[in-house]
Amino acid sequence: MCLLLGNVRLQPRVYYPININTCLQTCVLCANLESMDKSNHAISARRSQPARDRILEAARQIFGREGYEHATIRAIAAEAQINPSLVMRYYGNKEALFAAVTDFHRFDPRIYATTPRSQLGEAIIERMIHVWNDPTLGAMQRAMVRAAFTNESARAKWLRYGTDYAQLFEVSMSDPDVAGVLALFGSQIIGLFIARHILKLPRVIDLPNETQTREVGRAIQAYINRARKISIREDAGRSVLKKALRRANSPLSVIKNRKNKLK
Amino acid sequence: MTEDTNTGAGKPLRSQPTRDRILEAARAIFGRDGYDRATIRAIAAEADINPAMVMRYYGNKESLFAAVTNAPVDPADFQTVPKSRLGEAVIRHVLEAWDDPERTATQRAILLAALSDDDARTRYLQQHQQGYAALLERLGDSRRSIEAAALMSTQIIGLLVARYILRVPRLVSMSSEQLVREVGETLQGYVRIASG
Repeated sequence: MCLLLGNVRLQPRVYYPININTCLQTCVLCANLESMDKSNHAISARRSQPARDRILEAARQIFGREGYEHATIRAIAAEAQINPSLVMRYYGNKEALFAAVTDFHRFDPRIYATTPRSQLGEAIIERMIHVWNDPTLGAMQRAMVRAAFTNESARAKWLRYGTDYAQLFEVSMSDPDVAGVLALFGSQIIGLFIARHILKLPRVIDLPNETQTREVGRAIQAYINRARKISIREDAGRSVLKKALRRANSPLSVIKNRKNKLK
Repeated sequence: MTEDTNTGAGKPLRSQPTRDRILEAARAIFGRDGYDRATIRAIAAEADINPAMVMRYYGNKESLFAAVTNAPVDPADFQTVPKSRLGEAVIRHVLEAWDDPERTATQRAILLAALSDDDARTRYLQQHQQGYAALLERLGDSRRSIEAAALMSTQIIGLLVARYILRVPRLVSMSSEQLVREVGETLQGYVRIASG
C-alpha cells in the first residue's frame, strides 16, 4: 500500500515497513521523488521477516479495532498465530509495537519537496485526507489520536510534529510566537480529523473532499504564512542588531569614542 | 449567556438548594472521575445527600449528566454580533465556557468521553447541535452557511482537544485574548464562505 495514496497495493515483500521509499515505483504522488536516495529501500532478507510481517499485520488489525489501551500482546499474537513470547522478543512491549505500526505517520519533508510554499496548506490537507480515508491507516490514525489522550509517549509524539513542520516551513520553534501559531496550525488539522473520523459530525462528513481541501487548506496556509512572517521579522530584527553591534565594536568607532571622551 | 437560564424555566422550587448541591457535586465527580467511573453513590456522598434523593430528582446517571452539561448556546448571543466579527465572538463564547473554573473539568470530561465512547458521543452530538443551530440562526441556512458552520466546528474542536485534552504547552500558556484574535481570524475566514 502506498503511504501517500493508501490505495496502491504492492508486492507482499515490499508492503512493510510502510516507508516512503517502498512505494517509489508505483505511487503517482511519489513519482517525483524517484531520483531520491533509495538506500533504505532494501527490505532486509532476514529469515524472521515473514513472522515480523505477520505480527505487524495482526497488530494493525488489533490496535485499529480495539484501540491502544484495550489491545493486548496476547490478542495480537493470537491474531498472528504466533507465540506471544516471540512477539515480545521482536518488539519488546506493546508500546514499541504500537510505535512500529504507526511508523507510517512519521513525517517526511521530502513529500513536499516540489510543492511551492504558497500551496503547502492544500497539499498537506490533501495528503492527510488520503491517509485518513484508507481503511487501515485511518483506523491506525484513530488509535493514535485516542492513545494520545491516555498515554504520555503517544501524546509526546503529537507534540513533536510541530518541530517537523517548523523545519518544512523554515521557521524556528524557539520563537514562542512561531510555536504558538504552529500549535494552532496543528489544532486545525487534528480538529478536522476528529470531527470527521471520531466524533463523525454529520455536517462535516457531508462536506465534499474538495471543499475540505480548499477551505481547510486555506486556513492552515494562513497559519503557515503567519509563522513565516513572524520568523522573517525576527530574523530582520536580529540582523539589524548584529550590524549595530559590529559597528559599535569596529576599530573606527572605538577610536571615535576615545576622541569623544578626550574632548 | 445569562446566569438565570441554567436551571431551565420555572418558578423557584423549595427543593432548589438541594438540587443545586446535587448539581455542584455532580460537576465535581464527573469532572474528576469521568462519566464512566462516576457513580450516583459518590455524587450523593459528595453532596451529603441520600442517593435515593438524587435518583428522585434526576432519575439516573445519564439524565443527571445531561443536567450538568446542559449549557445551551442561546441563539440571541450571536444575533447582535456583526458578521464581520462573528469569528471572534464565537471563539470568545466557547473559551468563556471552557475557562470557567466551575465548568472546565466537566466540559473536559464530556469531550473526552465523547472521543472514546459511542453513547457519550451521541450525547455530545446533541449538545453540539445546539451550538450549531445558534450559529446557523445568524449565518442563515443556505448550503454555504451550513458548510461554513461545519468548517468552523472543526477548528473549534481541534483547539479544545489541543488546549484542554492534549494540553499542548504553547496553547495552554496562550492568553485567551491572543487565542480569540488568532482563532477568530481563522473562523472569520470560514464565515466569509457563508457570505459568498
